[in-house]
Amino acid sequence: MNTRFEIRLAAVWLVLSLITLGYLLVDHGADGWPLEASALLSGTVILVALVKVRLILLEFMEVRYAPVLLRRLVDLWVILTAAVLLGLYLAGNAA
Amino acid sequence: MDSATAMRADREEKFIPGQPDMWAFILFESCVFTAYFAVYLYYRKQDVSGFLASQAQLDLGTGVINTLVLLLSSWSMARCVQAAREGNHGAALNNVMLTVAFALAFVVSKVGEWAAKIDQGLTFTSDEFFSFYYFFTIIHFIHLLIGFLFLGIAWYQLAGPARRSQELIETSATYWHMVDFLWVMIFALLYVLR
Repeated sequence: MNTRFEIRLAAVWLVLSLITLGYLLVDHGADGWPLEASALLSGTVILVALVKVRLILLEFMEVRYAPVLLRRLVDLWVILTAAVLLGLYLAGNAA
Repeated sequence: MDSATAMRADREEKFIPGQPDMWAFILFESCVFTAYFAVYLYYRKQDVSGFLASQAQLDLGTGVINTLVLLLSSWSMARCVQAAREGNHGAALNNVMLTVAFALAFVVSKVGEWAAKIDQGLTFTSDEFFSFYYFFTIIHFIHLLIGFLFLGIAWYQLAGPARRSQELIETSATYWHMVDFLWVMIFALLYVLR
């Protein structure tokens, strides 16, 4: 296989896996049992998950090489999902 | 087209991986899942401590392993597409077989997790969190089972020299990656959110 693609795909997989393993640290970093609500942690978790999803879309699914329309639609979904999820999680939390 | 876009267009040939219909389906499906996630967060908000107490019954390590296995499957499927594009159909076939193996590992792990939860008496009707847990994991599992059909299509295309439709292989891969990224979201929202 073309070495450039081989390395690129391996690097993407490595980054995605390291971020996933990072969740284990986050769990111990939080208060553990009983689980406590944390807006900062949860907001980060939602955003990091969407960064991972976007990386899968751009690299594994090759949206990076796709026409502008598809790239914009994918980004639109990522932004929409981030807004909806963060909005719902955070709304009223300040009170 | 602005000049920056034109420059990019000169540098790389644009293409949609696989059939555009699959992309329409994936964008639609992703929006449906965003709506499911919104409903989940809305209900969670009504009883954060109750949801967190139930969530503590889930094993984060299992969720991490599930995710790592699906990421491996996505990686091998992406390698399958690249190998097939370069005409290396032997390597592509090996990679689709590897993807099937990772997918089966996910099946075993998920069924094991459900069995353990049911053993603990945690079922669909235990509480709201577990209703959502089973709803999300089962609906994802159904998508994964349909994914086996697509992996089978890619396998079939690669197995015979007379077939080898790159478009069908890419379409199958695109579907498979959706199974992966939907799980990434479900995992974060069910197992990690606080």
